[in-house]
Amino acid sequence: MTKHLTIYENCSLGGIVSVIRERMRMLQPRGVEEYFYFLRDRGGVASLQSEGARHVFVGHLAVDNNVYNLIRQEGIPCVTLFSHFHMARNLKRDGLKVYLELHDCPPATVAPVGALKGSFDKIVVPSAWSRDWVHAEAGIPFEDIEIVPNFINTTIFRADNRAPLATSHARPMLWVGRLDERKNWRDAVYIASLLKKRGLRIQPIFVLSLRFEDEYVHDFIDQLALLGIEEESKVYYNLSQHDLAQMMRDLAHLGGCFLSTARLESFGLGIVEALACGLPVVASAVGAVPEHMVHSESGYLFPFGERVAAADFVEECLFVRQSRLRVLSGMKGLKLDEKRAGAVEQLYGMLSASPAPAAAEPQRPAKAATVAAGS
Amino acid sequence: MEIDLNQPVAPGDVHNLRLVGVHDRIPTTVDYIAGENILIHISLRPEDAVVVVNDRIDGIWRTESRIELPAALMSPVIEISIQFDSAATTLAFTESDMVLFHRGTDLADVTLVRSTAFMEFSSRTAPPEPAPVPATPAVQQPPAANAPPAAASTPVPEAPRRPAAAAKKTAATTDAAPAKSPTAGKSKSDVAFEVQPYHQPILKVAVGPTGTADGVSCVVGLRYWGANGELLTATPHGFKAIGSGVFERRKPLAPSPVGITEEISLVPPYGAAKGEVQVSVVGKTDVSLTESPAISSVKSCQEHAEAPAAETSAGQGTGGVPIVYSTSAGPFREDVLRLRPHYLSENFGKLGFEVTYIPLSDTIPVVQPAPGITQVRRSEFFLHMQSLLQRHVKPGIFICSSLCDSQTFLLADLLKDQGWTILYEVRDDPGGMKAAGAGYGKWYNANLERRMCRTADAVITVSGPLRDRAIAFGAPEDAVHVLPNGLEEEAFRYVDLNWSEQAIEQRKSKRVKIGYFGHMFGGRFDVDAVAQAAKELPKVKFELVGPGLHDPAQLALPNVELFGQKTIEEFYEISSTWDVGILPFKANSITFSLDPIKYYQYLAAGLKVVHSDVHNLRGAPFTFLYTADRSLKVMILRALGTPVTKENGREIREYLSRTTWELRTSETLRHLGYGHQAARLQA
Repeated sequence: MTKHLTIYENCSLGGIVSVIRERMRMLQPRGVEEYFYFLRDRGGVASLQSEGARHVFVGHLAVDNNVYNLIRQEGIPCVTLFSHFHMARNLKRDGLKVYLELHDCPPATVAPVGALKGSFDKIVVPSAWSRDWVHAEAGIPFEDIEIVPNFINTTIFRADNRAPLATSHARPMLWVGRLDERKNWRDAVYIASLLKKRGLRIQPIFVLSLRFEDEYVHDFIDQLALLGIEEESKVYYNLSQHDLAQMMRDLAHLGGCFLSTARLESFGLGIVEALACGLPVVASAVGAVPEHMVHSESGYLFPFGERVAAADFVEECLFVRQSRLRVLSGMKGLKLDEKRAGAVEQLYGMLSASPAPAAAEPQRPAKAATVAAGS
Repeated sequence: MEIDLNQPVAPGDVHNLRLVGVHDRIPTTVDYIAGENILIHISLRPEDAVVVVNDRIDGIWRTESRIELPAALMSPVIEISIQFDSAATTLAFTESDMVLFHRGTDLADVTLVRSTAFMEFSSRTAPPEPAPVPATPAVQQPPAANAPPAAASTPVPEAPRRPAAAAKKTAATTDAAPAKSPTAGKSKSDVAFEVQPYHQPILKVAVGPTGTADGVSCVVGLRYWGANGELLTATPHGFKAIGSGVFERRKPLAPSPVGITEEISLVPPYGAAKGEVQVSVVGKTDVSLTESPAISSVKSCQEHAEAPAAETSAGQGTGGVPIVYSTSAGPFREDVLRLRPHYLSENFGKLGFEVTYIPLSDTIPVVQPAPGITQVRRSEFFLHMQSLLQRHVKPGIFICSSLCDSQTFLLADLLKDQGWTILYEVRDDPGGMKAAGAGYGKWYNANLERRMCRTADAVITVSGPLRDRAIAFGAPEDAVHVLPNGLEEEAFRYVDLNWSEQAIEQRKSKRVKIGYFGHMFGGRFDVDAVAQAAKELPKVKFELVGPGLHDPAQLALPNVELFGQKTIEEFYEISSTWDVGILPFKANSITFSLDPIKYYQYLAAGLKVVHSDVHNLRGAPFTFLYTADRSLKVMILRALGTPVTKENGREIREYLSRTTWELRTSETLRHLGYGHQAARLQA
């Protein structure tokens, strides 16, 4: 029995938590006893429990000491930090095996990790692009970075291969993400308005997560109204994996597409989920996105921020039959189950391995810092 | 850490310092400061095993003295005793380890002692005693390069007196003579505590009156130790390091003539098992702790060990159709006047619906205030609904009652997809409420309301103007219904009492006053009109019942009495001497479109009603409309002079019998497609 603690900020339904949940589902039957510590429940705790989580802790006060007590009381030898990387020093000093997982790659997050060298066993990233990025931004040697691709539950995210509906209904365009600038919802709203101005019948569908506060939501609804697409848009929040997968299959059946306008994607989980459900993807070619599809063969890629080009590809995907059929055909070689099996073995090996010793404290130069002001 | 000295250092004084958190590598310093100038600088350097003392005259460092720091004292806690004489100072760590250094500095201006470590301080005036010979003689170092030669060769005028061992006490003890207490207007207290797993310690400090002066602060020194007794050096959140492992937080206290209680979180760092705080209050005025600081703990972590069992609260499929009532009204509470959502919820509950009532406020005294009703805090509403929708429970009715907030917007499309019926209940003009500064206006966004008007299966408004507004916002005309407010069942005993033939005959002698009942929110209540009428009618007594009056001085008139907040039963009691009830509203979009529940209650209380222009009251029974050309005073006089007949009594009883909340509930359900339940209520 290997005990393993995962620490992350928000427990929501999708994104990183869906990765965490899927790992637990695969590793717990192999004898890995999973513990989770989240700062806040954003609707995801119940879903973790329903998938078999037995030890979920939630609390945003005194986090560091709570983690200390949890590790001590439960005798946990291995910790994966998805956030709160500063804890690595204490955990490593206590002799634990420590992994840092970087799924969110803005420089402000990545660069400080460089200062933690010696306080972790490996940095885990989900893609080759992330590995290069972390190496470049934080100066972490390649040998200290492990690529473990995210994997999805293919019993939930699967295509049902229904014949496409051939009526003259509005074509749905799905966008999934947080209301923040990195996910770049503004471009998605603008692209929908461009398509409407071209006289095309589309239905924008936004599945939002995490941000629900007025400052974000008012901005979003005002933008929908300003660009004249508020009436035809549908808006959902924090859908369960089952509901989202069903929606993706329905939209595939309705001849829709998935639009990603993100500024940065360390993996592009939503894109993989859409592809798995048979929903063609139009995405900004950022981060690891090109690792999942080839432009015009298994999806459509546009340079980040090129909204007119994105609208063109959405139009092509929704209304040019030959192009859509070509891409649908190219989406069939995803090999998701194979990739998942490999990643599970990789993770199991990492969690079962012995911890690397903590790096020795750097030697202080003699007599350093001994002169007080005025002395 | 700084300690204020309220008296100058004088020959014969002994300062006892206990330094906590002395770092083994970085020098720990103690400075005697006059204004912005350091006059004596003491540097403890455990890494070099020395103590260095410098003093300064006229901005120039003059002498430097060194002593070896005894190995036994190389610990995080060091006690020092400093004895001042007219020209020399003795620094002692123990009675045998002393350094004597010549002091040319005049220390009379010293006001402050500052250290990089946490410091406990006490002082006393030592009695004269023969000067001892230091066991470890001081080593006089060459003067600083810029010091004049004369200073370096100044002979030591006299040996210092040995500091008494008894002087080595901390400020927490009471050895300091009253005349030489560290600072007047300051008090200190130490508390040691254990850190419970999964709890966060909270320090509670009670301070006496701080007067009206700013500048009083609570100073909290904090240390944490690990399970093995090691001092922890991670900085607790909200504190700043003042030495290795010693942290301080200064919290300014608000001026208060009656004293103040503060709670300060002592966030434990990784590995904390024990802690200690030292609390002191510093400021311009004499302030002190009124009681010993206390440490309590709050749970900082919740374990979700098991998957939740099948819930039985509202909406979980135990039988009744779930109704989720999200409203801008307050919770079910004894001291909160009930509004439409309360009355409708009660009736829904009576009919077997499972009502989840979500008030605006988070303060919920009772979870189940009435049969079939569960109150949920607003802060839990969103998670509660997400949980409900993810589990695809039996669809029911979602009522958005005058609160088209962001979270409702994010839920609405999924609710519709899952078969829920959405009712938008418009009790007032939310745009007007935002403009008038109502607290919940911050949630308002016209685009969110527009979307709700288009999404809702039915829109029920309390008045015609609100109906027109909803249609203008995109609601389909046939989905919008006007259903005014009503009267509670309990009030009908007052209807019988106040409109009986006997009561009508006796009212002329009993009822002489004018009254108002309800919230006096500045966006609605026209305090100027009331004040004007009261001034113009000095012989008429005005009684005003309700909270929310912004400036009571505006109604400080001999014929006006303010009762503050009262219950509805107290209102009926107080109003038994009123002849006229007033509804003095400001002329704006909020007041024109509302339907005041108090109108029905005034009628039940037997009152004639003088009101400003409210659409729903135009032509309503027993009303007297005042306008710009017929002032409140004029219409009050007209109402007072209007006789009440038995015919009036019959008319009012008949009218009120058609305005019960049961009927309103029944109508609401009919509009939502639940006609059979509505029929049960009417039966």
